[in-house]
Amino acid sequence: MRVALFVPVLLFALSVIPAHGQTAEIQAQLDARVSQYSLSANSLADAILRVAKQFELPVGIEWLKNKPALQGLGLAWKDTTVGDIIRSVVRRYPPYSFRVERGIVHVSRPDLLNDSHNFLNLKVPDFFGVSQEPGGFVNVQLREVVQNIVSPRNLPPGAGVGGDYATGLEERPLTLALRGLTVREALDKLVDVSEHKMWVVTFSNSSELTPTGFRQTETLWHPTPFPDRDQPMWDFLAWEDYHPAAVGTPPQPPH
Amino acid sequence: MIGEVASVESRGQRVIDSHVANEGDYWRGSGAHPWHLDEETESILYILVNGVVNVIATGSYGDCNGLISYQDVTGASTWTSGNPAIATVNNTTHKGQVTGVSGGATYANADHSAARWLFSPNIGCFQQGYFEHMAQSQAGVQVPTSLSIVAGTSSTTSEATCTTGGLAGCGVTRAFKYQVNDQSGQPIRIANMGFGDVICNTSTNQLNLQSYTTTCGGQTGSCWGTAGPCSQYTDANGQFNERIPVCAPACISSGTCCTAGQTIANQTWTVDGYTLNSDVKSITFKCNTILVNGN
Repeated sequence: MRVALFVPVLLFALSVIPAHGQTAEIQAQLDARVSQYSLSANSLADAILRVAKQFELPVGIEWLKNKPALQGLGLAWKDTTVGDIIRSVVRRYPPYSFRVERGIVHVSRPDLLNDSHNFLNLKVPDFFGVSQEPGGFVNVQLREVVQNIVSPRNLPPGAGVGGDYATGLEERPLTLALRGLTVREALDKLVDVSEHKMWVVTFSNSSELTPTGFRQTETLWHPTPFPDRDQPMWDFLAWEDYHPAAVGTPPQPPH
Repeated sequence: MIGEVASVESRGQRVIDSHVANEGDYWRGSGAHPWHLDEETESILYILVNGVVNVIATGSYGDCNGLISYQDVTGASTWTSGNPAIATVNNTTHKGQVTGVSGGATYANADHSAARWLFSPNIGCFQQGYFEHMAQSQAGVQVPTSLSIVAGTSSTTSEATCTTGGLAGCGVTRAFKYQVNDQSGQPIRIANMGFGDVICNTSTNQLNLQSYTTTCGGQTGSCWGTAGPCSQYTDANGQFNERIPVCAPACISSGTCCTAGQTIANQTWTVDGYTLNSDVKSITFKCNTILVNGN
């Protein structure tokens, strides 16, 4: 990808907007002028993530990894806005659309949004609490809780849990109330307050559902469906952790 | 490191100097250790297997008037590797490009031929032949082999109530920073090495831990986690933050946190595609503490 970008206008736009919260902030980012930008990507998600990383946009993507969404893309712009860049990328991948909700740029297929087979519409259980935990670890915990709904573990009584979470990021501890939110809303909230700024749910191009009736998922780093017991999975990334060269191919066997 | 022009004889010498790319250029495979292809500086270029770094050779040239000028002699130099089985050095299309092949140490050499200038009080400055200069620097190809806890980074919370799957329990969380080390125990100070880990239970499970959250998630056989990489990368120092929680109903009795024995699990890391089989971590989970290899 070759990028030529003049940012002074972007910085100026951010500095003069009144503090109307998330929506005003993201709108200012989308309205920022871009004198020149070019993009080469190998799928819808790759294109959006590259743009999001370049312009530091918080994004949530829910996409079906089928042939149309895996089309490559090469575009160039002059004298445009960040919002128009997103808009023209999404336009290349019908029926996807983009909208701004809760201060996050959402790119999704309309038919997935209210789909009862979409785990993002599940509610975060009441017992899920977040107290002084880094955002990436909260995401791992949320993943475990959602997996236990989609793929019940049926653990014996009195079972405990251990484990680990590792990251190269420096994350600040968060205290959040996520209970009662949909998983989509919870991820948005995490993106809003944590160092992780992009979530991506990749639905497999398969009509097969999990035994509990949910769409199967994969991830950017694991581009094949996970076994039912590990469903669902998703990506939760900081801008700097999106390395396009490292995604899209199955992990190599370790040495 | 640039050659001093101390005498007439030395004025004809070119000293080959070099530097590597910045680590901030979003590129995995090499650190940003300044190193120099000359005879006066003992330095080592560190790269990973398959890591690539472009070396630039700069000649410093002192003329008869004592003026020193510099020029890029990368393309004009002949580049060789001391041991291509460890690291290759490109001498054709990308001169000076060093690529790690396997773990070990070797030399990257640059040969350069320059006009030899001498000074005579009677005739002034004159050229006489050519001066062949070879400079070399050690190239260390590092293979992720072990992890060590960075001193002063470890902390553990006090035992407190928690919930696991809706059940009340007690537990702690230990946090620290890991340094990735190479086959010689030297730190690999390279950013963007992907990693993942797999945790397996052992027969010691008094806390009744029946599942483990892991960085990448998923399962490998009967163990928890996957080798990844899963979009988690080392920082610029080749380090990453590790957080190990435990929450067990066995650690709570009548609403009060207590102790209840221990659970031991084995944790196997994979870093940059290398599974650290010689450094499997033994994690001891207790209600009020977590130990790694007994510490």
